[in-house]
Amino acid sequence: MITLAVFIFFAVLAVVAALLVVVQKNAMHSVLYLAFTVLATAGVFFALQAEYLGAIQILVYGGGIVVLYIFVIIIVNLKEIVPERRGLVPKLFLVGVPVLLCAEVVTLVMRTGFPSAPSGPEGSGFREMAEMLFASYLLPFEAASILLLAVLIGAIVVARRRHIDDPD
Amino acid sequence: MIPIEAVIGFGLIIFTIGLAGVLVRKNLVIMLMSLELLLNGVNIILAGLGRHLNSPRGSIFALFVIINAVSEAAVGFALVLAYFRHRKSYDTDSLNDLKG
Amino acid sequence: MTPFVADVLIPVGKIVAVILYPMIMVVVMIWLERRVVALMQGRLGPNRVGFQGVLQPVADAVKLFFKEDIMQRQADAFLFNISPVLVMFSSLLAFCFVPLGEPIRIGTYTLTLWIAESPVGLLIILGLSSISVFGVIFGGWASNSKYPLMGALRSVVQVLSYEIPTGLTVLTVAFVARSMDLVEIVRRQEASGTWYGFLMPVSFIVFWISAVAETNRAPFDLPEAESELVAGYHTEYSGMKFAFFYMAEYAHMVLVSSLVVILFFGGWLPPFPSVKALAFLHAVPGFVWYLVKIMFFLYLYVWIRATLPRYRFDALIRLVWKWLIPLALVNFLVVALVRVLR
Repeated sequence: MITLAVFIFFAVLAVVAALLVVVQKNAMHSVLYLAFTVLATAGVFFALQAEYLGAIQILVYGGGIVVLYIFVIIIVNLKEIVPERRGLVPKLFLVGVPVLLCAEVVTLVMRTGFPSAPSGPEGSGFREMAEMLFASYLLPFEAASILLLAVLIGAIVVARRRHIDDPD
Repeated sequence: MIPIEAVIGFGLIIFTIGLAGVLVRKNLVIMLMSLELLLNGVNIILAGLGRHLNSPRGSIFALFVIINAVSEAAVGFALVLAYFRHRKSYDTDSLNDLKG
Repeated sequence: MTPFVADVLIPVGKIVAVILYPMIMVVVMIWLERRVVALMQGRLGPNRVGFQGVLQPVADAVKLFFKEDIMQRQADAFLFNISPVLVMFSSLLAFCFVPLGEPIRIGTYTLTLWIAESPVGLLIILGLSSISVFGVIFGGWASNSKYPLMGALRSVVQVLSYEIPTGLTVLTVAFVARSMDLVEIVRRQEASGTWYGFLMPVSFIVFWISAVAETNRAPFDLPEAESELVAGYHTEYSGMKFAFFYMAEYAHMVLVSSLVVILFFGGWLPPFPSVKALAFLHAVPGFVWYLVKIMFFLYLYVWIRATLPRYRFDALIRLVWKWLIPLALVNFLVVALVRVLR
């Protein structure tokens, strides 16, 4: 009961913050609302008892990606506001199609019920997740670390300032 | 208990908002932020399903989605920085030629 | 005990206590810092307001409360106003997961001395203390002025860089304790007899240095140093908003001290448990031991500030990337090796 109340609270917060992200003209305000969305989503994860995911969301998304956004906006000094030159009809269309898609999937979910939880031996706790991550999913785990290394090197190479005596 | 339809609906709403944001906005940085909203919506659905089906695979899948989101954000921003140094603007309407 | 009292009233009471506890420690810290730093520097410090200057924080609070709240016209009003709130929020929220002692039994009800316990409590606290950069950088950006922006950027780079050795050293503790639950870590220290600070001194030292750097305290306080950047990211703030930044920094210090005490120094455990002659120490409740240890680390913070000169910013960054991170990695390897070979 309280879990449901907590879930609804964080869900409403996340939806409102997400709407504000998309609507703002000022990019810095958008980033602030993105931070709120990320925190509210982490709250939803805690309500769904996916605590590790919530912690990782706060640590990685909140403390990492959002700060990255802030830095990029500061470094390129995004003070100029790009004029949104779209007319009303194209905007309605572009908003209407995702809403239609959402309504479609929601109807699908409502119509065909959901299979109820098989009370299997797998728990959704932290320990079971760790055991599964290092046993069944070891290869994706190691591949993810190689991906992060590649991204680290790639981002530095792409974004660095060129010096005169660079080879390329 | 939290009904699974509510979680999926909520995740879908966030996904829709992100999708509309990517389509409507022209500011490159805000488009990338809406992309993060898309990924967040997917993570919510995954976490909800993980709890509903009583399995840790939902959280594991969502963890990998987050790792991919970080990678894509980092590389995306490196590209944005490089492009901005070249063009001095981030209007995506002028992002229409491969030359240079 | 009705469900209403157990599920709603007691958590609300705990939340109030959790908000009051760092605030009271902040008040103590304000006095402690100014008096101790002054005495260490050979001068007197505040000694007029109340006995030995103990009421100085009250005088400070009254002064800051009545100061004029200035904001520049070209500052971003919304972000400017919300930054102190964000900093305070992130400093206080992590206290929900900090345990203060063993559960107390009152009649049939067991009162747990924490608001929430989670199998990944350690990770959550790390994440919540990394949210503190939001308030800093929004405050620096919203001030629309050179020095705050530079101070904010430096502060954020410093905090983000020093999070890495923090995470690595905390990982060694979680590795040895086989759990990321803070309560479990203290209980393991009780069971194993040695506190982790003595078992893994390198981890403790690296964690302590990183923690001092993360809270932007001397000798790593370049982002808010007076001789360098006026006052860093809170230059343009005055009155109660500045008080928020000030209090949030002290609350963050209290949080980091709590974390050090729990992870490395036994939390609420009394020292020397195996010495029979000192068995009377167990009569003192765990919460008191916890406070004593936290006060020691807060005093250590102030002592370090009074003693060491300030690091230059590039030296600071070089320290973490070239020395602390490799040291933390090697330390983790050594701990893992010792553990596996045992």
